[in-house]
Amino acid sequence: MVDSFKNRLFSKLAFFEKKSNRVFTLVLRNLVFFLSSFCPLSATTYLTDATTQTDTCEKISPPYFEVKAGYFFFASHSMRKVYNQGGFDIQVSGAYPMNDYCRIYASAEYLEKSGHSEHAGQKTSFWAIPFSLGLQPVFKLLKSYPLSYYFTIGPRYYLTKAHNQSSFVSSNIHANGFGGFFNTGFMTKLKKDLFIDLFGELSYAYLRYSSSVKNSEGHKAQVGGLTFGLGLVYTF
Amino acid sequence: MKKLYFNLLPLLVLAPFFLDGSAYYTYVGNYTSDTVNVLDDTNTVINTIQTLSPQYISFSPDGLYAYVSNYYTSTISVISTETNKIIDTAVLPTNSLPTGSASTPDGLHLYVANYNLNSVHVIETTHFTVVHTIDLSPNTNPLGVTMSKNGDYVYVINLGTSIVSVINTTTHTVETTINLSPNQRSYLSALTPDGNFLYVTNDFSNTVSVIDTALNQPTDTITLTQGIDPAGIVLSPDGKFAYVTKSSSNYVEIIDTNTNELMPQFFTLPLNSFPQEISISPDGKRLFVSCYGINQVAVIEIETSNISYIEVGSEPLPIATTSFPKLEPPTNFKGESLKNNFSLASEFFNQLTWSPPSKEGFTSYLLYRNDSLIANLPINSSSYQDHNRPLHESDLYTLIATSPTGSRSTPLTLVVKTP
Repeated sequence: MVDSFKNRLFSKLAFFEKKSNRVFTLVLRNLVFFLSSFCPLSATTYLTDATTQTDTCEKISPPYFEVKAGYFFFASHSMRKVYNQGGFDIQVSGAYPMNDYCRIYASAEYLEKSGHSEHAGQKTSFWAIPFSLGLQPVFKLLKSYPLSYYFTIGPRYYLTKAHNQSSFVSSNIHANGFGGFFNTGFMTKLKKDLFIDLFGELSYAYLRYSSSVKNSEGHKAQVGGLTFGLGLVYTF
Repeated sequence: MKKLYFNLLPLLVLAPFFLDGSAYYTYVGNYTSDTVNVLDDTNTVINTIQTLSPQYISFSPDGLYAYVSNYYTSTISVISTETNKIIDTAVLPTNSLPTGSASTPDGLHLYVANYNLNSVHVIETTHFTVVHTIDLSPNTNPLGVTMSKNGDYVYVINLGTSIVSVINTTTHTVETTINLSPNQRSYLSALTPDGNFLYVTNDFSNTVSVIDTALNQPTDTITLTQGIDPAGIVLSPDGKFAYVTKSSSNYVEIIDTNTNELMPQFFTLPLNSFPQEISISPDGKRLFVSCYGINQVAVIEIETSNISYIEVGSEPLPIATTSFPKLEPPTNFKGESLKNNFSLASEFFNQLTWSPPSKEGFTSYLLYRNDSLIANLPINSSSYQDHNRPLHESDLYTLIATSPTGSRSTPLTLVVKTP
């Protein structure tokens, strides 16, 4: 059953193969294959009611575009001790329904934190741009009111950079790498095609940083964390 | 020539300022072991510095630098008296045999006699390069150099001619000469604290000449009685006495400078000790005599006539004493190693703190790590962070408060180890 669902997904992605890079498409296929293992419910639903799938999807789980803003703080205690200021987090995301209960989700995010080094008190700032891809099961909570609950899970690729106002460690250090995320939230309708999203998100990425200044060293750090905020959703 | 020169070349050097309550250090050059020993005021050898055939030692006016004439290498080694490390080297012309030296009162120039080339070199002390050369007559063989009190003149004692050349430090020319009795091999000289009289030892005649520096004329000659070969000479800080070593007969004789007569008292050193140069402690209570023949420094307690001996290197020749007034040191000198943690990167630094001295007069702190100066800090500072320290290593920190005149507090030391 799950395999059949995957085949269906692959056919929806077929148009990418015509115009985009084949390698990218291959990666995307494998990613969808991986993510779909998190969504057996949606696969089952799709297979048991194939004829009504399209209508249900449009009512409950339409494609959407969302702008989210939130407050981010690091999950790591050591990161929180240093980066204890700021935390503005903005995301743009979109989702496309795969069936009545599950969407494929993608987002790009920007966040920054600042603070001071421990003991020496030197200023430092951290920026991250995570790109996310995930599956998003959706649950309609009330029949009489457009309120739904969702959660999303998937991999995330981080572009990160830190600027240290210090000559004792490298002033600019960066690291990129894969991690994961999980977010959840409630969406309710404001007016036609517009929804508001109250969300929370947990992310994880363990990246290795290096410092080239003599007698300094870089560290591995968990740069993921928690984000809480609101989003404005436009459905198509 | 070498042996004769050694026997006849005791030199006198006095630090330009001696104050009561000073910590003082005596520098002894060991000719054949190519070293300079540093003695503290407890008569302990605290340092040995590698040089090359040290022949003469003088100090900068602030006492922070020692200038060592390296006889056979045509160089002057510059030693920091704070760290007792050679920090620079002045190179003289080829075939030079540098002997006596003296700094101008402002410390900007050093005058060095060149025994072989019959000249005097003027070295500027910023980059330690020769900026002037004053040629003397042939075969003068300049030896001793003494700066006048106001720095206007340099008196150069010429061994070969027994003529004192008076060099004008503004024009860098020999302004006049003072003829002593010929063929008496004049050696070294010492200036009275008021700058009015110059005392010159004469080897062959076994005398000391007294020169009036206002007239630039000899006014008296003192005949010594105990043994022969007067060599080194030093004046007491109050100028009342002159002490003269007798390099071939193991005596130190005493001259009353008020009457220019010999005192009945004299000091006797061991047979074959061949006392060469002589210096005196800032309080005027101790004489230090380099004993060329027994590889020791004789420490003479003037009041009691007790003499003790300190083992030094081989064939000690030049000896000089410098002092730094003892000033109250800062207190509560503490340190700890801390991690400057940016979370994504980190380094260890040593956090040093101290409390300032309670008395005024200091203007800065000198901070050393493992004998290397790492910071010159204003006096209102009370902490310092020494960053990027390697892991698992210990650092020895030394903190010294200094005054504009070069006075220094007793050093405070502290060891900090990174985890």
